[in-house]
Amino acid sequence: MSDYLPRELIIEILTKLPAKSLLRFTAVCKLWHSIITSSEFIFSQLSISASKEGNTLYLRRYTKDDRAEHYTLLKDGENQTFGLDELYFPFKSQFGYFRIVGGSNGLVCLSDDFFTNPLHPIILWNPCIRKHIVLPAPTVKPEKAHFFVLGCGATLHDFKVVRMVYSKTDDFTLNLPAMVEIYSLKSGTWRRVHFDDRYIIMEFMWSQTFIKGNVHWLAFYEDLTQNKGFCNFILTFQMEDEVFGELMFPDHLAQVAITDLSIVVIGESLGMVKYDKQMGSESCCVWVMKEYGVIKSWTKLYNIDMVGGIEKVIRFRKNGDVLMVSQEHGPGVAHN
Amino acid sequence: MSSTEAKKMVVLKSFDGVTFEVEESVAVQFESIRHMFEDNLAGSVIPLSNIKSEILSKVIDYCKRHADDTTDEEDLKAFDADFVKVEHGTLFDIIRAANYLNIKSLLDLTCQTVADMIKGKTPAEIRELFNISDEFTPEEEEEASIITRFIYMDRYADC
Repeated sequence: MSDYLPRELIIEILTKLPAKSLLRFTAVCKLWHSIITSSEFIFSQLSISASKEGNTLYLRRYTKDDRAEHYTLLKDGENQTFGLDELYFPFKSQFGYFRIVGGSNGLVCLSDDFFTNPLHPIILWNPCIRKHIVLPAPTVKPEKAHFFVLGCGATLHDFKVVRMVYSKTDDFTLNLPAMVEIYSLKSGTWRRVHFDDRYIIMEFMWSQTFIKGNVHWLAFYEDLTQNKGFCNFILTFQMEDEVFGELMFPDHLAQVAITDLSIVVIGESLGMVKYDKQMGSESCCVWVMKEYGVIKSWTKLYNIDMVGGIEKVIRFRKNGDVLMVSQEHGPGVAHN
Repeated sequence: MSSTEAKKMVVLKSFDGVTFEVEESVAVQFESIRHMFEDNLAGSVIPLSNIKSEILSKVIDYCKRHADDTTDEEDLKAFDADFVKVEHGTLFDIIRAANYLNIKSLLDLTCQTVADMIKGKTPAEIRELFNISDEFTPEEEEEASIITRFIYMDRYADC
């Protein structure tokens, strides 16, 4: 009896524990489990951890000879350099390698759709605890030619994957609008979401960026009113409330070839890299949306000279360095 | 000026009948019973019917030290570190007393001590330490961990 502590005091102690211990202690007893998995407790934990959280980056190398993927977890701490730990990777893509859709809250979403795998399974993988879930078969499966685009990210109490399906007519034009469905980790099922805009996301070359609770995709639409032709913008999807939105570009980004653009995260802000791939004078221009959602706050930051086989920007580090991929040397770091 | 004045004293009586006379400046840290002696009940005995004398004396020691503003921070840290070097039954008693008397800093100190003590332990060791008997079945245990693993992933990745 003298060892007995009431619920309120157990909570007091648990709030002081690291996640690794909390995870293990869900198996102590029903009371501890109910506390650790309660939404108030999780919420208080998430707000504590958000302030402590470091930046992690997953790096994938594909080796042709053994056709294997090698994943490494890079930690980008305040004062430390990258740590390198190869992760145990339990999957095998049917023909080649997986598409890394994105990562949020330590979870990585993989999709085997790069090379015609008809099943294109979607996997949620937690490398740190070596657990994964293969998502159930989606419900939107057109008989005719089609392609899909994914987005993923964590909400307050869940993790979701959004899937937009573009089907094609017999002459290969797109049926608009796309059909949308969403998977919730909590429910374990797919559910349809309403979408009626005629926005298009590029086939195959799409990628998504999850920041501020929103998925972001580069998209375009045909501007019929002002006769400007195709116009680029960022299509957003708010994971918590499941609503679509648009972030427009300044004119000079709206009208360039969409294949020259790439969405990035710079610090806490949404950014954009515009590549100039002219042979011999390759460079890119970095933009940032200083105030999220405010179109006028798009600001040009600087140009990066990319001559000498530098292929693309992969990450803006906390300390201001830009991490880039070079064809000859693998990843390298260029200073800002 | 205040040092020459007679200090106001408060009398506390433990569960096992032992009385403690403490200065009001120390007793004000007992948030939950503060109103009793502030309402001009000076001289009367305040019963603390669920705190043993052994524990009450420790808690008073802690509050005396923390009320003394001549102690420098380093000394106070050393005192705190030493204060929690007790066997876990006593530590739990102090947690309960700190909670009952609503002494925030003592509650934080003792709960942090328990957290540091248990963070590397297994569920079975925790059950023993906390005298818990309502175990999960292995199936319940497995099911319990699935969603939680995903919930805590981000923090897990940092460990």
